[in-house]
Amino acid sequence: MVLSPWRSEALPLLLAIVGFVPVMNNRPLPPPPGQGLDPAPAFLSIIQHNSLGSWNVFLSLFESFKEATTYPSIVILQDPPVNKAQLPSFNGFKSFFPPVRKPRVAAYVHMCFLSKYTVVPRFKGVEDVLALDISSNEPLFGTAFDSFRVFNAYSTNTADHRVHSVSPDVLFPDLGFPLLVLGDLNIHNPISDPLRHFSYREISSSTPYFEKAAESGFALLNPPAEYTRFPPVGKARPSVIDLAFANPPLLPLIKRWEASLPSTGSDHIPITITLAAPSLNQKPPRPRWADMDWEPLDPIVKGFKVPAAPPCPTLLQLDEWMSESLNRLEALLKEHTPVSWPSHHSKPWWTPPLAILYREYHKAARAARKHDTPHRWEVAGTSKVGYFKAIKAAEKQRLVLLSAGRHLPEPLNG
Amino acid sequence: MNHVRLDHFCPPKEPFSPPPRLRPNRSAPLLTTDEIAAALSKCSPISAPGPDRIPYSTWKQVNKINPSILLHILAPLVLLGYHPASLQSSNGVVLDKPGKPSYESPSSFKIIFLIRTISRVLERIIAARLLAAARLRGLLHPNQCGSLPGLSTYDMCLTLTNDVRTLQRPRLKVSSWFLDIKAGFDNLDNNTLARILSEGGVPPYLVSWVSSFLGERSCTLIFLGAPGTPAPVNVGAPQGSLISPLLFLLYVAPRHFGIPRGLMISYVDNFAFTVASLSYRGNIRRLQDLFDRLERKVSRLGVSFSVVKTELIHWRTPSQRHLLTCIAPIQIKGELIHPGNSVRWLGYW
Repeated sequence: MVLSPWRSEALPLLLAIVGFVPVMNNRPLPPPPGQGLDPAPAFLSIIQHNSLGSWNVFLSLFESFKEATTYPSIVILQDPPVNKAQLPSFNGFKSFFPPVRKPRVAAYVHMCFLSKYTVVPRFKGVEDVLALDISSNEPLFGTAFDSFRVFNAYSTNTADHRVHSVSPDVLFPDLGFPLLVLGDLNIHNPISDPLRHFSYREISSSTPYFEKAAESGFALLNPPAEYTRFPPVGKARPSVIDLAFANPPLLPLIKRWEASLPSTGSDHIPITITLAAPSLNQKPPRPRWADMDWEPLDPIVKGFKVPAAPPCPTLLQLDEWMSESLNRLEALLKEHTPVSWPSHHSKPWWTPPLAILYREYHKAARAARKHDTPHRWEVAGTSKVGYFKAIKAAEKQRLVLLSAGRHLPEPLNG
Repeated sequence: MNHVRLDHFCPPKEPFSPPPRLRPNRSAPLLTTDEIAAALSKCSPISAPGPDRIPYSTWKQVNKINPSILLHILAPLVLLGYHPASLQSSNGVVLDKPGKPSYESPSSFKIIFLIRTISRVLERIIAARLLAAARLRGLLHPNQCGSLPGLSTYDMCLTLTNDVRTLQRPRLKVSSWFLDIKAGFDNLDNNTLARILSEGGVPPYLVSWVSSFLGERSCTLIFLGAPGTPAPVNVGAPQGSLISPLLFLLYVAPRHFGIPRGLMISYVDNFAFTVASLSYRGNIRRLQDLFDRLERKVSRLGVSFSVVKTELIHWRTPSQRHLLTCIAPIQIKGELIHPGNSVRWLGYW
């Protein structure tokens, strides 16, 4: 039977109405980029969304991945659509949800990701909390850790207004490995939304969560006042309730938080969190302009012609002409300029205190040059001696550790 | 539903308006290679580059080998009076203001915009032309200083001390009040400045260029943990730009006025009132009146004075040292400013 496009779109909904749990799509999604044949992914994309228990929202969300330039490895859902204790499936993804009659949280993991990593769901015996432990035989993302955890929570108000269904202690444990906490926590706080006017009840119910998060060293990933829920009707205000927290071991891996996916019909917006290996966050190469060899460049620059500007251009035409002319010229110059790549392998002994000493040494040297007093020069000299002594000590310490056969983790930042 | 039906039966039409075209301004003097060379010669080779990361030394070398390149790139922009979008991007380096008790507030930091070096060459050319036009038409007040060739902070302080001594000679009591405009560059209004320049008779191509320069810019903030994404900036003049101080001088120039038995001088956004009378209390009354007058004038520009940076001093001659000075404070926006024994202005004590 061949279905018309309208019928093919409406079929999952009809099947859901009559009680079937449909497979939403026959065409599987291609593997997420960065994970094609590489056993260690370059980056990991995680989607967080409250689907309001709606099949349409679920379908819209997964269909939107096809339009996006990147598709996620893990989709974290709050309030997923449920029919007879079953969740919808989508080709290319494996679903995980608490074994209860009506799970309120779920996670969908891409099959390509599953084929390379061990994903173990952990249930707390409740319907609104789910943890995924992701582990590998090799260190993840070039760090010393071989596993990390994604926590999905849907915390709602209980009969007591001051208490939510998921407690702060459950959400923010002290772990020695990377942990990402995602959830619709239904809490309002000036830290996440500084522009909102808060009631006493909102403050008192949210403060324990943010205090516990701060105690455990978690950082909020949401940009302040970036609304995640837009109530469709009524007088309710937009709010920031879909929150994401990262613990200290995970923080260097966080690349971005963005809400760039199209609306799904839910009053919450889908959020994309991207983790990346720290090496990918490296700075671009630095051109060494002072080392430019002008001799071979001389005839090329002499022969360089700037295209004529349009006679009576529109603003757009003039902008385009300028961009094109400048880009051509800059590309030519950069092509003939040697570059230096910042690398964390160049100074493996480098430590954060050395960076502070480096800054202090140069600050003192600048002050000495500016004021030219004996005292300033003395301070500059002391800073210099201290800085170079600290470098020698750091190099020596590394050599000692290497000779003792100790495994040294690579520095996180280049 | 109503909207859907209305849209179906009465579909809204896109208003047809062809995009505006820029016409070359015949009155604009043609850009010359000498102007470019002069602008480049004043640029420091160690000045931090902008997003393109190309230093001035590279442009100097390019201009030396083939002067027609920069000429052909920049000449149409001068002729059409337009600052293109590709030159509007900048890196905003967030620096902490020294000596702040706490760095929890954004006001404890300042942003220096690192603009593309080629853009700064163009700014320098336009600034030279704009300054010449402004001086020719008397748009700058004689008591204004800052970013003007031949006038430095030292000249300003020399003017102040000379005038204070002159006023003290007929045994008058002299007092000075130092004011600072709060976030002056950030509050510079593009439309108001364009009106000031147009009414002052500045050539239209320069007015047009200034308007587009202050138009939609984008800035990528650089600090530890910054997301590194460009954000649009539509207000004020960029700090770190060569032409911004000159634009600000032109912006506030009409707000200067003469003071009988006194002096009003300014260095970009730092103002100083000096008045003389038979008593310090009389000086305070006069200063208060002058402040009210100036406040009314500058409030029309959308700027205001910073209370924190306000300082008051009553000057005394060596022979008056034994006399008790006036300790009466002056009031600004509900806060009392007490006179100090010393004052720091433009880096001088």
